[in-house]
Amino acid sequence: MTDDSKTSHPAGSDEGVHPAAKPFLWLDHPVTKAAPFWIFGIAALSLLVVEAFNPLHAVSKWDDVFGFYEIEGFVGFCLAVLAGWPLRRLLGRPENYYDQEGDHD
Amino acid sequence: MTELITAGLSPAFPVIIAGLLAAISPSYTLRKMLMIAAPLAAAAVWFMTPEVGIFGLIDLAGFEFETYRFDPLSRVWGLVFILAIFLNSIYALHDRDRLADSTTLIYSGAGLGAVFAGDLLTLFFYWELTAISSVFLIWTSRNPEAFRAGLRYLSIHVLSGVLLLAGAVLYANHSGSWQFNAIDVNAPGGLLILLAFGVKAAFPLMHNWLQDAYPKATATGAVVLSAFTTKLAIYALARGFAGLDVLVWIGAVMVAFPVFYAVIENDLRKVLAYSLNNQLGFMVAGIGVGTELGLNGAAAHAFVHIIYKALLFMSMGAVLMRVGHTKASELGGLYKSMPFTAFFCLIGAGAISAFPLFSGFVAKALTLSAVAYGGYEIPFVILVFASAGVLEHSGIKIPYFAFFSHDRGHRVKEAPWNMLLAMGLASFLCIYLGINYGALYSLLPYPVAYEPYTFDHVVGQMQLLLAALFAFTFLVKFKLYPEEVRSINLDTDWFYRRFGDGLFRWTGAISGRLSAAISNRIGRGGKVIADKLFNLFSPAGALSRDVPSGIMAIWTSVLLGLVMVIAYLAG
Repeated sequence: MTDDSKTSHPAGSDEGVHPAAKPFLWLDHPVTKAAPFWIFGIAALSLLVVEAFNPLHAVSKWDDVFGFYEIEGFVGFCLAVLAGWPLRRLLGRPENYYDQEGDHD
Repeated sequence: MTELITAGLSPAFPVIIAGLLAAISPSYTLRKMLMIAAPLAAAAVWFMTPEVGIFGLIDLAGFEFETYRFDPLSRVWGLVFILAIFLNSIYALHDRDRLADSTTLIYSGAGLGAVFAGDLLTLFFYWELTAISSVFLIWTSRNPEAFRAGLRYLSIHVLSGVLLLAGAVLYANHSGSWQFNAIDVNAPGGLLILLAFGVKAAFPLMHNWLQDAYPKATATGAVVLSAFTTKLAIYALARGFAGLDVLVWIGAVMVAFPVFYAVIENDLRKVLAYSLNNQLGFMVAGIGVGTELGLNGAAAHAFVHIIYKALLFMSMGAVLMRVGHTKASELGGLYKSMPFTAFFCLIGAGAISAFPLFSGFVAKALTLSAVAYGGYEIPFVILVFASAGVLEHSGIKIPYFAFFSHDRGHRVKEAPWNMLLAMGLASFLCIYLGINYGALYSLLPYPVAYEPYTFDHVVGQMQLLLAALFAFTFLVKFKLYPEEVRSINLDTDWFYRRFGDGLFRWTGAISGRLSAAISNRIGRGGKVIADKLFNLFSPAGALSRDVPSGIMAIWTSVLLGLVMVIAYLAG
């Protein structure tokens, strides 16, 4: 299944980079990695302002609440991710938990 | 062609026949030609079917089988199945495994056959054929873990078939008809049929065969599996149980719980399996609402989901092929060596997350609106929450941890041209159907008077997605996002893989002692019978020489025997 041609390079090395990927190496720059926090934060805030001036038409009693979709998006996402901490403690097991004799021969 | 269709030619036949021919063809080139030709032939039958109607009536043993029912519901599933077969065939062009080629076609053809089945017995036949043929796509991984997962998968799906047959017999006896139409869940057999569909649709607590088996299939096998089995079950639910209120709540649970599992799952193909479960929940909820809008939503969602889920499985299949695994804890930075795969994966991620201009947006809108208009307030909130969850596990986690995140230094070749072509075509469809949504809506079972690109809908959806994206960056910035670690997570399969296995071993030990007691105290008679049964049914016994497990044979026999008893009593 594995391709024999694969090679390993030091993490972050630009050796062996596909020509089509070279124009996008700026994605690894620390500034680029920090930018989405501000970009998405400002964009989300902007849409709240848009809603304030042009209220959405509700289809249920819930989305009649101002910022309903932003609240669900932010709180729901945080809830799902933060629940991962206790859930992993509760449900996580070593990778070989179900292994049987001869599985990796 | 029209005469052939009237005489009984269904789109399933060319695909199944191609699969049978592939099984006996040692030529790689011929097999690949068959794989490309089969969906084209099926598409020709689909397009040339003159009108809505029932074709392919076969009289056998006093029973009339309806092998080709072409109506507004079956035609949309039929078309997307044919499309999926075509994409899968291109994706698998490099694969030289004859067994995989053959069973891929037979399985896909069986899926088509089931969708076009007009009666419950034809449905049962194809239902079982999908189960039996698809297991080889797991076994062709050719390792002990995949073999055991395949056995578990097969057992569960044979059980689903047995439930379907038992339910069909009882239901037909009650209603006097074998027609596969709306089914009354309260009638005799109705609940059994619902359970059979529920097993295949991966209802909560019956779901774990999916996460157990799909990630253990081959790179190409998982792509094929993702398209047919569960969507066939969704079709069956839409056909049989539209408007069944409880399905809205089952759908709500289905969309929510996989989100939590996907967050802590390390294997990205398993994350996709949980994501698949979540997506099925939207469709189940739409079917539960049962209005024209709800059923259109389920059909539209199934259509676009098959394409973008296949695309995501394709991208992870390419990673599996090149890197050797899909563990998030050991991936990252792959966009540097697989930029095209990364790009296509991002399009799949955009589609499944329902960004405007992508196919998921125009499809999911129908279901969410149907649930809201239906007055299901709590399920609506859960579905919106799950939409943010979809962004987390499929929109962000899959592309981010595989292709971006921390560069692990993997420098591999880009995916082969055929894989890139299949991913490119799927990507094109994800965008085309998102922009030219009229093409999708025109295929749906009922007339659509719905405009997805309204101010309310676009702004509401972008608010949800941008707030969720901001939440992701917030959690990463403050190191609140759990690190990916090498581990597995307990799910319902624990009950049969650990608890059931332990119980079985304990029962074996007790019965061994009992057997000894019988031979010592009562005489040799009991031992002779026990020995004969052991010789017949044990893993090394006569029944196991041709099948994988004696236990499997016993269970299948017991279940089939049960069906015969029910049939006898019903008759």
